[in-house]
Amino acid sequence: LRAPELHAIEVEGMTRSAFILRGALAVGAAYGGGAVAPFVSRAFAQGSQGDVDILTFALSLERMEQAFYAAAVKNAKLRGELKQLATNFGAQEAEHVDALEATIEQFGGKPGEAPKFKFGVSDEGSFLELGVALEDTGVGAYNGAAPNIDTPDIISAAGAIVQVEARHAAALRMRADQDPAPAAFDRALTQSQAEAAAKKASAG
Amino acid sequence: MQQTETDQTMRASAVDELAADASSRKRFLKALGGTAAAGAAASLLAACGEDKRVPLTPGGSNPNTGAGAGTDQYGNGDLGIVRYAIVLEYLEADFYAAANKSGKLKGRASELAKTFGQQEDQHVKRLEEAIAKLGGQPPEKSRGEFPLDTQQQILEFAAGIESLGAAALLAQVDRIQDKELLATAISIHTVEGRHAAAIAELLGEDPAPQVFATPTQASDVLNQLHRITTGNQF
Repeated sequence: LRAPELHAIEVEGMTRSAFILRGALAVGAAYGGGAVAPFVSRAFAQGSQGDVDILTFALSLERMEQAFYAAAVKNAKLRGELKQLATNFGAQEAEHVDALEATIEQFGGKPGEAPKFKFGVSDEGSFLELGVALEDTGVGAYNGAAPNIDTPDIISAAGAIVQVEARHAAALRMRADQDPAPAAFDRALTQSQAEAAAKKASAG
Repeated sequence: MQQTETDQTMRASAVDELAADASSRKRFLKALGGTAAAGAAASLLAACGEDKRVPLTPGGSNPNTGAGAGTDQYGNGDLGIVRYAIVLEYLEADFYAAANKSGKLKGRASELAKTFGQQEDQHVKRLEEAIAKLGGQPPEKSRGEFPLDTQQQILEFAAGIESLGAAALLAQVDRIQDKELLATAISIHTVEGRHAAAIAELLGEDPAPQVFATPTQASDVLNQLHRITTGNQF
């Protein structure tokens, strides 16, 4: 279930969110999307500065996905229905970005500038492969972060967004002839397995 | 002003400000796409006495009479939520078992229904463990009447019950107190979302029709389930 293609994504920036995002991608690359949830959960359990901290991380994730679909529509030579799908998903990610920015401001935080991203998407195959890996990573990240959120309304909002990420992941997996739901739970590893995975990822 | 359970939960959070300021409440709802927080905000409004009706608890019960329309009828708090959630999972597991036996599914639809059925069985098992851990007993299974005449019929029903299952769990995630249970519930919820999207793809429908997934409250879910268990469809 590992997704080495995630190594092809570059996330620039020195913010805490950018660090956790790079970690999540490294864990996803080495162990698959299911490993991302416990990794993110652990990151926030150890040093969360509250809900705004988690929202800011979610924002960096959504900005990455928005940038990914924009790059794919521009560079992956997509056609017809698949191009429409990428365009629709990108528009949904853009709305997630807007909602998260507004919520962060509402709770007294600052959304900050979007980090720069680079993706290796040049054709339909690389779009599907990386899209699946990214959306699976997003699902794991939200599911991992959700139990660390204090405000009930923000848990609901995270749930409303992550279900859409899961739907994106499944649809792209169908297009790529992969299993749309690779596991019965979108959270594969136990806490101790996750810690081992994170250690290995940060060492490598 | 009546102190309901919702009221107390809200008080402990940063949502305090929203209760005092109608315009910031509107902005918040707009920011969330007007869907996710609508239920919570409705309870908030009710708790603040803008409505003459008796505010229900988040579990859907009348706090004065105990009459329940939601998860409270399955038990208090987390136990009620899990016993309620397993009702849906039982039905989904039974449905896939019947669909797989029907002989009407071919090709990818048949493969997916087998996989999804096994995954629903695992959800049932995990929720039964959670119920036992909370010191409860699983509720009685109710028998569903499923449309199984054609592949199209089966897939349409599957799309409906998976979306309902995802929406039902989504409506509970902000009420669950135990964090491990929340992690389980939200990750079952995303798998139901994946199932719904995959079936939509098979049917040639939009796999992600909403920007923000909408929750369905327990009383509405139970009304829909009642129609299924009495042989009527969605």
